[in-house]
Amino acid sequence: MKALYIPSSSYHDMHAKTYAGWVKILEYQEAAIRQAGFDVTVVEVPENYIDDASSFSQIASYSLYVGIFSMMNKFDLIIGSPSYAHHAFFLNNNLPKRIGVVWNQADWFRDKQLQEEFERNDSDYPTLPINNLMNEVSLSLCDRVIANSHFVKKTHAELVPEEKISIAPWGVDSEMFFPATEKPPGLRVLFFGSNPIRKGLTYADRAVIDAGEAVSEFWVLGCSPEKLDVPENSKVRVLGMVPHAEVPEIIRQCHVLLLPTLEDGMPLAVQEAMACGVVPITTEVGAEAFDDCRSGFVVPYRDPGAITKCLKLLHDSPDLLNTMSREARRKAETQTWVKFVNAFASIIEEVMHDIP
Amino acid sequence: MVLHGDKVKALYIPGPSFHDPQVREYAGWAKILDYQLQGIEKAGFDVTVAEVPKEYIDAGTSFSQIASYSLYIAANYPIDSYKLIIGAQSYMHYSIMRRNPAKTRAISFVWNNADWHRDVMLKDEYAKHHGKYTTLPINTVMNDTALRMSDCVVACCPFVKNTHIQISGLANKVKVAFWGVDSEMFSPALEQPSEFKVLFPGTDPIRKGLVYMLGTMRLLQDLEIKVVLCGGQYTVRDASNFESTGMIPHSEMPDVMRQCSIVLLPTLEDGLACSVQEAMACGVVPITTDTAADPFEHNVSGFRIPYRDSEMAAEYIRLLKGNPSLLLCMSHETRIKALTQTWGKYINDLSNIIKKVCE
Repeated sequence: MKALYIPSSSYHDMHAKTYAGWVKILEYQEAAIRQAGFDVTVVEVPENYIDDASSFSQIASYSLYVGIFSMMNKFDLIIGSPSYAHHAFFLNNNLPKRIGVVWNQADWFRDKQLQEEFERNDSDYPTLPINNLMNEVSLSLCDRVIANSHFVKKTHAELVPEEKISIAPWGVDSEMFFPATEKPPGLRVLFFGSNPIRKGLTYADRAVIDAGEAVSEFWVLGCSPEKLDVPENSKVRVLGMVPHAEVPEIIRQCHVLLLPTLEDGMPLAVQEAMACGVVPITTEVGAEAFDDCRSGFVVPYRDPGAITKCLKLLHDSPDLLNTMSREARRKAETQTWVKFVNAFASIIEEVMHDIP
Repeated sequence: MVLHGDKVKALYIPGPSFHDPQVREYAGWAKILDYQLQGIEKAGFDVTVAEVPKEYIDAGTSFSQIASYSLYIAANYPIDSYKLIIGAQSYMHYSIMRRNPAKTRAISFVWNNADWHRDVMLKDEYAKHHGKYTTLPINTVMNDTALRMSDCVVACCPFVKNTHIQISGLANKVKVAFWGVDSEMFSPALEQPSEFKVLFPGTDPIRKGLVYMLGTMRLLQDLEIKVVLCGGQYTVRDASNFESTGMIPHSEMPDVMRQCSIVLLPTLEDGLACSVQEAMACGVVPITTDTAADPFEHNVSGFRIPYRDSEMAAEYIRLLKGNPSLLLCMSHETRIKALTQTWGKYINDLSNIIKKVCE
């Protein structure tokens, strides 16, 4: 059987592959499609065919190029990011099975969480109604949607019948991400994310300031320094963007991952921190990988006070910090990429066998 | 096609200009969209005209503008409930891809030359004049795919047809419904113009060959000739024989044309330049290149010149300026020729093509 895999433009982007941790997931997805018995084709779109003036034009031009390729070749399955695959999904001629893979929340949820937040931070909110329409139409054409978490499934269930959505939770590489043998003194807190508004850096920063002596250092990883307007604070160390290969060494030097994100799919940073024995404090949108109060803390959105309490608690109770650290690592060890690949492949097999 | 009982439904996808009052006011070609609509109705269809709310248009580039318009339509109109989808090929590319060919026929209108021809003619020209050539390969992919997936392509003239039949898969699909001209609105002046004026119409100076027109006028400096630049944002300095009308509403075009004896359009790339037919209807003799020369007969109702040839155009103008009787005779011929190119004929031809495709 032949499958056309339409991952997104990041698949062939060397910069994204070096710096963005999530990009390796595209390879695991491909491995899963092969495991399900397919001969997989991935089309590379030449750069001069991409109109990168806006996110819509970038995705639509990529999608059109791949859609035409799909028209000229017969496939049994078309699978990939719904927006990048939407031209191929639109085609009515070959009638292959169509599977959309989603790893971000549905647009309506993102808009609800972020539109005001961007305005409050004097930033342009970069989406257009046509992007949402593109995603919605594409999802409606799928035989099945594969989400990476229950939360992502829940937000998409507003757009697609719930029974059409399956879950293959993401894993973490627990050999690459492992705990340090020794930790520095004090409580070193890490914020990890490329988009400071979306990932709630303002709230993290406020909480760290309010925590006073409880936090010895606050490391900010992933944001370009020019994007940041962090108040002068001797605890803050801006690390900028680093290659993903260097991330484990940074994470394992910290005690706590603080990610009060407003909108996310399933943030890999949480799982990677857990694998390093670093205790995550995050919002419900990033909290599926751990058990609240056992292997991490779930805090409400936009609530620096709740974060400060958790930070103080962990500072004041070294035993609790150690226990939660061990529990986080133990939990992460159960979340493997092998499991992800197996779950993903099973869903594909089910679609091919069960859907007429 | 014989229609029994209820009318069969068609979706007309004209592009955003159909609902844009500014385009309607200034661009002469936009009225053609109304004639297309009439042609579809004449073929017996109950026509829905697709409309896209402005906030859904990503106006960043021509590709994003077209793709967002096209996507909105495919997502919001029930394509399979129409017997026919018809319109500008790129603006309906999603609908063409989405349709079930057994249920819904697709007809595309083309009124520009094929992209390959435009690229051949303009890419170097823009570079030569330090202009930014703004098309993307993905636009061509979009256009060609939509055309290949259409059941029929309706071109506005034989030249446009000829550039399209060279696209693989289109050889037998392209028909011509020749554009018309409103010969009542565009009618000759009651008296011959008192001055010898040459009209240059066009908003895009590189595409329309402004530099070659200027070359021609330099060769004619010994003659008393005035030049009227119409349509673009031209600034005239130190040249008393040049005047610029700027952008004017299309309703004011007939008066501008009637003051002129000749329309000189050394265009490098065009569809069927409306302004040539409109000038002809006003009895203004056209001198233009192959790409805009379908409406007249060379040496009878106008003159054909090679691309980028200022000298040949100068020779023809010198000939007409020196022979008022020849000018009068050709002016008459050109008006007569224009009178045969009616919108009524266009509507009939279009409706016959549609009926045949939907049979």
